[in-house]
Amino acid sequence: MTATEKHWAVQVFAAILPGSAPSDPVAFWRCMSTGAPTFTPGIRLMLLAVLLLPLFDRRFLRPFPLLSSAQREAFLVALDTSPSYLSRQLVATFKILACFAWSDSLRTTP
Amino acid sequence: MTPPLVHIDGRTVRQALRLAAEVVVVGSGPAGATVARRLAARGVRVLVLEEGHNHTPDTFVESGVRAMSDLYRDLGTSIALGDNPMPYLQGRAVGGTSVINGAICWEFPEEVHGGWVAADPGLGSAVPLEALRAAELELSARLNIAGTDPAIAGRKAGIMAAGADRLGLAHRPILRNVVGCQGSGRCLQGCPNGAKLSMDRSLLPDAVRDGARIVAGIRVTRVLTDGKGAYGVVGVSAGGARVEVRASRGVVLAASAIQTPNLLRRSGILHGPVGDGLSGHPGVSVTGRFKDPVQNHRGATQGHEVTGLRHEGLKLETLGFDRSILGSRIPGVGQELARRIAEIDHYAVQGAAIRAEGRGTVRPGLGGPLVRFPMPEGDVRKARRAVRRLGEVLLAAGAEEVYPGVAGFDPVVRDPARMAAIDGEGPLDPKAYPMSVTHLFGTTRMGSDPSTSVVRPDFRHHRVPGLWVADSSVFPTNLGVNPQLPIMAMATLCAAAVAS
Repeated sequence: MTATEKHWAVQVFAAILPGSAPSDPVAFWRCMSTGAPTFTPGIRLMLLAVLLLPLFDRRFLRPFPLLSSAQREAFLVALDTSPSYLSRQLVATFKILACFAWSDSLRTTP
Repeated sequence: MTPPLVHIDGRTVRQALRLAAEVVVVGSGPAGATVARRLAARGVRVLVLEEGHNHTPDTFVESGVRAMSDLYRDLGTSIALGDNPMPYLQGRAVGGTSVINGAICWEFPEEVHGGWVAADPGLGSAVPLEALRAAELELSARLNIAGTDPAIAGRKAGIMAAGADRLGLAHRPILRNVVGCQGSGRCLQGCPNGAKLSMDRSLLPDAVRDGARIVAGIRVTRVLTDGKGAYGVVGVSAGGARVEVRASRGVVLAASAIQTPNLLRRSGILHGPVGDGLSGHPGVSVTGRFKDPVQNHRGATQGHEVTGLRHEGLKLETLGFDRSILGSRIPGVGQELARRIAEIDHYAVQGAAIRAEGRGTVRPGLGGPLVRFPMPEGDVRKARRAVRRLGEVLLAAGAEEVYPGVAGFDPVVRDPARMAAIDGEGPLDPKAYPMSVTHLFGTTRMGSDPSTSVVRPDFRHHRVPGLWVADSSVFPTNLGVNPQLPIMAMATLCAAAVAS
């Protein structure tokens, strides 16, 4: 993933779970690229979908980066509660990644 | 002096390498480790090839994403396609999936064995229940299999026990292969205390002590055959070099119900229904919120289970991990999720394994095996019932609210009657149920009839002399229980067949 893609992926994480930015972004993205190299193209595609889909939604008519925080959340809530499986999966996938990043940043020890 | 566990690390192999053994075993999980240990004890020169690397407890981390990156195949993102695409989880390490499982041990279910023998009487003499029981007994002693100590089970175990008691459901502490467990709740990330007797800490050291060699970081790509049968394998090291192993007595495949048929097909060994008949135990989970802290990520990862629903094809288990998976199972996004997750220590999550009727396929694909796993309506109904039971147990144990996680049904349920209503009102769309599938079987099934099976009842390939399959892909059906111990018991019989 490019630096720009990682930046906007983290913005999506923050909209799904505020405060979920990875505390060690280099290590976090390395886990993604080395642990699941075949998964990364799918993530890029899903990210592109999340960034562009609001442009085609009459409630927003702007791409994700141009939405306010409240609009981003409203857009993601709409996806999350959509009858469309693919829409729900977009949120589900980024929610897991956001929770991974959030949990990784907790640095919990036994 | 104790020999090192790994003879050669594939990361250091950058030039073509040729090795020789009497028997080469592909895969170092419970099946491969069992075969290697048994054969080495009989003086057979065994060489084990493992795609993953060796990890030690001091390298295991709590972070879910880092652990999955190191220890899980494809970060746990391998997807079985079908009516409800779902991830299937497999370990990739010396010790295989035993490094990242919950250490759950069940004996081979007698009724399942009876079903196998009824369908194919040839299995009755080749894999008699008495022999499986004898193997389980020996393994139980070696692996210290015992019920989870309540002192380290954690509050989530008590929650499941209390809920099951109030509903009149049979339950018990889970039998696990651990010694000195401290309840760190990190079975699925690799035990940091070395308490789990995964294969890399039990049967593989036994095998190495008796002369077996383990070569890690080798991805086997093909079984070598000629007119006389299988004589070795070829693969690629993590360092990028070609590795060839010649085996004078034969090849044992123990690479899992996904990788074994994939390897056979890639090798052009297409006889019988290889890659067909994939069965498994898809799972669902439900989260509940409690007034007092639960600390779901602490205590034995999987320390308690409800056994009283097995007649419905369901088995409920406590389920721990780091906080990431629990967080992702809490409903909502944005501020709602942030508000809920601030109290994450008040949540408990429980899972259910479903004995599915669906049968799928495994085929070689471009980036790896192409796995399809259908979900017929009967299995959707079981998933729906599982969500209901999980929610009922949590509510009966005092949960203030539970989150079924089913699209098209209430996101939050506080009333047991409403939870029960999912049985009638819950959707029958498979995609409404977020699931993952573990415990995979059946893709090189054993049987007496060469037209309907891939290996004989003695684990030997019907058409290729010198080729055996030892893993759960030979199981004609799924089990309805965690298969680690049955896999090892079956592999014990496989080893005896290879040795003879």
